[in-house]
Amino acid sequence: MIVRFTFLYLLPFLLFGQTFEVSKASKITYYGSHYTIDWQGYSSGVNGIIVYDAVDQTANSCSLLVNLATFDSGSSNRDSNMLTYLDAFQYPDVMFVSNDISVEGINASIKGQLTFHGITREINLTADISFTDGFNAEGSFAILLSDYDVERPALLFKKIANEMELTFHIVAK
Amino acid sequence: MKNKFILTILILVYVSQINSQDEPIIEQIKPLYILPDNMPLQTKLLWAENGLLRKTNLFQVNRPRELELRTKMLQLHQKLALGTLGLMFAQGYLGFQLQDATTNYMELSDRHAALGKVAFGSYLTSALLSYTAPPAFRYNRKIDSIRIHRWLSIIHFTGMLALPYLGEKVSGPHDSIKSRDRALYIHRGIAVTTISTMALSALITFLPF
Repeated sequence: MIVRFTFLYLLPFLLFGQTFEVSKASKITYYGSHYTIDWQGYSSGVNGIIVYDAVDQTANSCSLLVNLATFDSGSSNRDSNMLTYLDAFQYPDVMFVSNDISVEGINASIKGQLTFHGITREINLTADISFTDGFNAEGSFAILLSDYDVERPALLFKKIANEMELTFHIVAK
Repeated sequence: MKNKFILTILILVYVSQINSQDEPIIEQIKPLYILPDNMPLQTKLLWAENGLLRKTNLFQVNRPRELELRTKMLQLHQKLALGTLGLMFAQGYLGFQLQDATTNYMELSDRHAALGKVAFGSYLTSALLSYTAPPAFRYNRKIDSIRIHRWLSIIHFTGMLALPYLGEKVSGPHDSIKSRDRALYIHRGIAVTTISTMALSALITFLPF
């Protein structure tokens, strides 16, 4: 009975690797730019899971979700504008899903689908990973707001930059 | 096939994971739909659940529409405020010319008064758009650029209200040159303070916090 139970408990891990739950220590930061000002906003409201298999890399996958309302740029006015321009009531979350993750040493190449503003696009990114106290991944990537059909706000008659850089620090346990 | 199976498992694990979070996902979404709890006083008077606009049934709570309206009102406020600032600098220039005028005093005085009315109207419209805009999604408890912008607005708003009266005092009848000079001194001082605070208030909004 115990052997059977243990086998059933371990089965998902044997098949799909180890599952990590994303913790509140995770942080995603975006960097906005305008000719008058550069700013950043971050969110610690990252939810999701990461499945990592050191042997069978085809089993590696991740699913992350961030609610737009959790981003804080330090200016409540800017955050309110951001939510309006991103149609946050209609598309409240940003989601990233990948089941194509190849790991080589501490480097991971990730190919996945980013859903933002109701539009899903494939993106490729790299991350530095480590396994100290759970699973940690760090990296950055850039998106074009126009790719996601986001109307850019203007300040002093000029729109903010189309390219937006994002950095992530995912901590999962 | 294997990928689809993994994805299904992922989704199942993910859903169970959402339900087991300390802070359910619905709790994170909720603040989008509710009014912020630390609104500025004038916003609270108009837009709180028991605010004036709610009681008169002019606006029922509808956060998506309110945030959209707020963005539009503040964008217009920004454009009008910049225009007003330009008009105020022109006013200042005319004011200093008027101070040293000899032959064309009346012409400059009329121009200064007319431009003053336009600047005052533009300022009040801009201020009204800002003060009556629906509440933001959230208000930070710490000091941010918009909070400083609001504090400075108290100074230039008071200055703007006082300037037409002080202008009348300068052009009005005086017992002596000393009394006229004193009125001019006060008018000029308040005008310079108002314009400087307005310019500073505009520049503050470009701070990254």
